[in-house]
Amino acid sequence: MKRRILSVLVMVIVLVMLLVACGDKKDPVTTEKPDTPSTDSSSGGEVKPSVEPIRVGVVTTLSGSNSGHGEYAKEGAELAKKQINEAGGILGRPLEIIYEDNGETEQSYVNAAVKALSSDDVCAVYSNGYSSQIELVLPQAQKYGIPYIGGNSSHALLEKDYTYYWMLRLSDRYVSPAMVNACVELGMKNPAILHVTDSYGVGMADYVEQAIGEIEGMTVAARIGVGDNEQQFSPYLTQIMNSDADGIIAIQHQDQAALVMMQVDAMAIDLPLMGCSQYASALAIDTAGETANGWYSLADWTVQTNTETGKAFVDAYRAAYNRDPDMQSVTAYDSMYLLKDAIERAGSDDPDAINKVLGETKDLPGAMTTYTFQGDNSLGTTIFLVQTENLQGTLKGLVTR
Amino acid sequence: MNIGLYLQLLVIGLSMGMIYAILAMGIVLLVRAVGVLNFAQGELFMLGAYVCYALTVQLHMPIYVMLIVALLIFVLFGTLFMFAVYWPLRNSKWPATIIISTLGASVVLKEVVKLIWGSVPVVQPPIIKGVLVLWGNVRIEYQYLFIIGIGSLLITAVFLLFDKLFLGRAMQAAAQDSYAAQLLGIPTIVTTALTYIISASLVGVGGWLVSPLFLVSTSLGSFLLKGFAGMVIGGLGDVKGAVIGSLLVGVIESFATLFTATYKDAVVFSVLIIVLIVRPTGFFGQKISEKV
Amino acid sequence: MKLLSRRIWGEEKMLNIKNLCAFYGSIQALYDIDIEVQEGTIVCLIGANGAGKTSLLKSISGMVQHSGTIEWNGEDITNYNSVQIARRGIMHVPEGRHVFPGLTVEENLEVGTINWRGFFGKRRDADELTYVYDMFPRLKERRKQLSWSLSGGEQQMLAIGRALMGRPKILLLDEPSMGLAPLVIEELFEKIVAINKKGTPILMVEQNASMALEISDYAYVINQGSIEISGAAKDVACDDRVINAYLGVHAGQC
Repeated sequence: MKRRILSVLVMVIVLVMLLVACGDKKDPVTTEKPDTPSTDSSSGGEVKPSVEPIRVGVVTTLSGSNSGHGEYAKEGAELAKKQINEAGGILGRPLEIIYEDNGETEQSYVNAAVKALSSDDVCAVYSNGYSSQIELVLPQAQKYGIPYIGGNSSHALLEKDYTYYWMLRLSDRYVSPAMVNACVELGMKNPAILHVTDSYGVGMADYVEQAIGEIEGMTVAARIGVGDNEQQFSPYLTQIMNSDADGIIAIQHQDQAALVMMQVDAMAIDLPLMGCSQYASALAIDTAGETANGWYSLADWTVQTNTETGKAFVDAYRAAYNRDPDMQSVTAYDSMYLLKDAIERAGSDDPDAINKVLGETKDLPGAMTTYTFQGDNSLGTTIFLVQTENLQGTLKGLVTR
Repeated sequence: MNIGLYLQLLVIGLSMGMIYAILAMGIVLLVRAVGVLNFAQGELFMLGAYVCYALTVQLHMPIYVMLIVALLIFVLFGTLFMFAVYWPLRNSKWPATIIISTLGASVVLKEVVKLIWGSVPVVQPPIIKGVLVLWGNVRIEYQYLFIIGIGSLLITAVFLLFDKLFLGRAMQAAAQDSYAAQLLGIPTIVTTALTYIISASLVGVGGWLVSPLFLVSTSLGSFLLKGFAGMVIGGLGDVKGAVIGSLLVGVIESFATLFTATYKDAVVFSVLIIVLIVRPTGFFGQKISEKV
Repeated sequence: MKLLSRRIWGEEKMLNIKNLCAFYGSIQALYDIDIEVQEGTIVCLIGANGAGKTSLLKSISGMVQHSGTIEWNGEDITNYNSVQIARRGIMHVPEGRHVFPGLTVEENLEVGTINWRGFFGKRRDADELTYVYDMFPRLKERRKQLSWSLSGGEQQMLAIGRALMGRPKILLLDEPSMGLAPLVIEELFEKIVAINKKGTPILMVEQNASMALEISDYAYVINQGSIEISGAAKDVACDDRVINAYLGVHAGQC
């Protein structure tokens, strides 16, 4: 009798573990984040319900500890969709977005991306994944012949012949010299570089080091690469403080960026601080709180943008969601308008046609920046120099490629 | 010889080591009391962090109230944990059943925490702010000293319990020979529950200590691994050894960052492997000859 | 037989067991056992390995499933748990000693007081400690030594001493001679007699039949879970069946 109870218990426990492991798709928690506005692309204002929609895939993180990322992206995309459809759609057809959750592992990212690429009648896909993730699926994009627009910035992806890949932001190769120049103006002559050791972090650190090398009298005090799941930065900060560093250049994704900001503040470090664009993201600032104040960043996006399209976007986003848009929101938003422009110029939603005319994009004003084909499949043209003050990125300057 | 740098790294290392020691102690107490490795110990640690977050940030309790309420919650939860995870299976012929039960408990705890607080990490404000500036660039965060201080207090308190109090000796007796203890009239259900309560409270407070340094997330359970390493280096089944081994792990980890950042964990576990090869029972590993 | 002994001793039965059956899961180990222990006596239960001797003591101390009646000084203690049994001064010294290995001799003894001291009571065991150290001077010599390092005989004395600390009204000894050398057994049994002379009745189960019968007042022989023979120890020792099965040779007085 006891043996039977025992074996049932064991089976139940194993079953629970299996179910939990397999079923970890959606994050069932409703946080205080507001809902996306309810839009129905087939019954919006001016669009005829019987017309075939234009379908775009979006691959983003909707579950797990990075789901904040995905929430911002979805909000941005939905806002664009609502505006576009209320204004008549694209070529008279409603825009429809299919979301795929890329989960927390590389494998789940690939699965989600392939699912999006192979969905019926999808003409393009946008993803705000990391460069290391996007790189995994670009061969698939080639295979399916579907334009894959990325919200990432690693220059390495531009150097490999992926003709269906498009980068919205300024690539790290162009951001890094601008970053170093800004550091010079902040008074740094011998900065320390603290970077994450994935391909994005290493690539960017390499460019930064290269840019420093090209400036007279500037040296690197220390270069420290830290794994992407490290939480304890104090030993590294201690080493930086014990070198002759007169500034810190930090390159991390947003969770670690928040940790670095918190721990730099805890150690009362009083040096000029320059972070990569993630340091000015709403997610990082939200987590780090006041410890984010004072950090400089070359940010693709700041809520204090001074462009017309940017300001209009901020107002519309605030009205719709009651919070400030993050970089993830604006890249998703702009990707939809980018595609609208391309489809209208191509006259159809044929993926190859779209892909061709994307390369002819010129002076398209987006919320984040103005988009012009740069010859290397990147489209962004500007980046902001900001300093975080009062939990917001204050505009300090604009850098043009 | 950069003394300032080494001193700072030592403090950081001891501080982290104190956290690992708390975890290791929690495990060893249960190993000695019920003979089973509790794989959910890391999740009890994580739960401590979340509970203190909830009390401090979400319910805005002042710190002294929060500590008392948190301790009560840990006591309650430790008892609950014992009755749910261990007690029904205590007479099982295969010790593996209890281990599986703790594995299941660790998954359940993680998922319940996700359900309540979401999977996005949250932030616990610092308990103590500020740095002690010794000279030049040598600065030591008060938070780390706090952890070393409180950790030492906790560990000493547990040692005193087992050393000075009669209750502690009765608990040791029940842990060493449950049959004889029952014949003498020791209510082993009480002593076992007390051990679980002490274990859960220890690591619960540990979770609170560590949460302002990092983010409060479900991955806090992974600290357990370094606690295991410390316990094995110190000698499996020996509490004093677990504490010393864990402090060692913390210091090794901290100094390893001078050479490598990415392979820092590999260094720690390499040391572990070397110790196991050279002295399989750990440095202090005579299961019977040590108290507690 | 029983009437005779009661008239001779004229005392009340302290421990009165009737129709005792013991079960390990679905396996029955004892079949309708009747046993009495009178005040001031040493009663022994002898039998082969596996005959059910330990099960009897475990039934009394509440450690094994059993049915029947167990009476202690008129109180029905059949279904009491081990804590309640110990509180009544019924101290069971387990087979195989079972000292607490990581505690010192003195700490082992101290723990033995828990049934009357409780977790938080004041330490008032000076008298008990003196008694035990007088009875077992060797333990006094080794009072600060960790008990795992004691010899087998010393551990047995420690186990008995520990039970004595509990102010026992009866001692249940489970195979005290097991694993000990003959000289050590002799010394041990002298102590057992001394303890009994101080007024503590003893119920002892033993495989060493000759030594047990020598010191006992009353004896039971158990075979495959049932009592086969019972009576005054002298008489049982001269019973042919007992001699053939357990003794091998006539004791002098028969």
